[in-house]
Amino acid sequence: MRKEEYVNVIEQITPEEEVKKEIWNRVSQSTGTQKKTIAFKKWGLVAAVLAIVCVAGVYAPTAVAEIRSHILRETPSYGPLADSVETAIFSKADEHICVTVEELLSDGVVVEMTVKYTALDRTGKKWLEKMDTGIAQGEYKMNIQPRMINTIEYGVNYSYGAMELEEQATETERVFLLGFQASGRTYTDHQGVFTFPMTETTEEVLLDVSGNVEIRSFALKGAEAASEYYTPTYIELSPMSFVIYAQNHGVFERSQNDNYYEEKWLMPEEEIDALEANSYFIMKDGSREPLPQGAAHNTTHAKEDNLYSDVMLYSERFYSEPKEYRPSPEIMNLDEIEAVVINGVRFEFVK
Amino acid sequence: MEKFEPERIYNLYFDTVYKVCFLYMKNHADTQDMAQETFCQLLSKPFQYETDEKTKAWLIVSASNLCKNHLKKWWVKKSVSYEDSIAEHADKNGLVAESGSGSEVYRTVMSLDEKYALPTYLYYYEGYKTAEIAKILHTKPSTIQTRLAKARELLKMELE
Repeated sequence: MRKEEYVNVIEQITPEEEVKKEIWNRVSQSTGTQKKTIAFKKWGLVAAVLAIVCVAGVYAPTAVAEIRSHILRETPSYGPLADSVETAIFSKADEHICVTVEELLSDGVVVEMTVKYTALDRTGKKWLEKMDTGIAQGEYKMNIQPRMINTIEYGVNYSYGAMELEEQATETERVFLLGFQASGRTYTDHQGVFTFPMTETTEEVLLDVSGNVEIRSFALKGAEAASEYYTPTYIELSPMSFVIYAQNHGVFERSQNDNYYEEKWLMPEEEIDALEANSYFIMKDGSREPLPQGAAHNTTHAKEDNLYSDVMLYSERFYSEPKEYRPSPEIMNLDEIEAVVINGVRFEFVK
Repeated sequence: MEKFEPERIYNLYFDTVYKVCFLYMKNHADTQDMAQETFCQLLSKPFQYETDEKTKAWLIVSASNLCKNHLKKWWVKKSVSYEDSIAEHADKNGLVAESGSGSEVYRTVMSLDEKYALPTYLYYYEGYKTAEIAKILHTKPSTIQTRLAKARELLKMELE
């Protein structure tokens, strides 16, 4: 490689002017962080008082006294789902270490689990010490991903990740939080592929990740057409996420890549923009909850050969309003949702 | 005389910060997040402005540290479309994906480990000397020389 080639590659990494302006707008708006710092200090004081109360043996609020779940401790907003956290999911040991999937919280779209590594002897302890926390790939690769065989039929988009709960580490134990978020539940058999390192091998096991979180399905009935490209058909709602399905009206693209033949349902960008700008939940108190931006699907595989079938239209986990730089996951009270407006058209929920 | 004017500094060094972040995050979406967070840190934490050049060095180190910390955290690792799954499946089965020499150079550069990627960028693109890079990254010049040599070997870079 010549130096000029290297420089050319770096030159390619240039953001658009629009992106630069947008980021500056966000930076300049969010740099009132003084208030945020003060707010955190207040919470710190409250937590310290409650902790002292606990130590003194005086009754303390349940939220502080009983958060034993790592998942709920990391995402306190999921507290109401405590009863849906499954425990003792899987365990495997070799001579030196034991791997345990201790908890699972899932609605099939949002899947979170905690994994504990325990050293059983000196060798295991040394191995654990070396274990890298950059764990998506390489020798210590550890992740959970949706299982997809016959991918075209069961395809979902997904993101996955992992992090170590460093404050839980001891000389003989390390704890990790893993998970994925998928665009729907159509991956194979509601199973996840759990990949994890042991001292001599990298292992793979299938886990049922369908979870215990309540999911409500409704047919969608609207008084008029939402779009020439699709008709919303049904919705799956859980406190953690939503998936809206639609019937496509046959707009599709066929393409032949080098090695496989692909058919996709397509929607133009303008249609996606309109869908995202004009879609929201109507709550029973009359308020509106906008559907998250960037969560509408413009391409997806139709399940049936004739392509006139259900497609995933819009799906996302529920997030807090982005008051901060990064919104955090939140729970939706399903009893509070009255109806959904999709591309400006109101759809009632029909059981 | 140079003054610390946030928007001027942003316009001056946004591109640098963006490129540093991209070397770690390897996709534009996460890079944008990290670049934003870098400048948020500059403007919200106590910062003693001295010169533009020192501010640039601070931004490079902050961006690098933010990215490294972030890569250990939640939901960062990968976003996968099922088209990518199909392509991966095709690759695993010995079916070769399309590639041109330009994309190969790009892939080679992007595959550099982070400890080589940043010194290489600072040396070959930003034009810093090894002593300057060592000062910015708080390490020894000999360490930087070793890493640059290793990077050249990995990139199969022709000696100047």
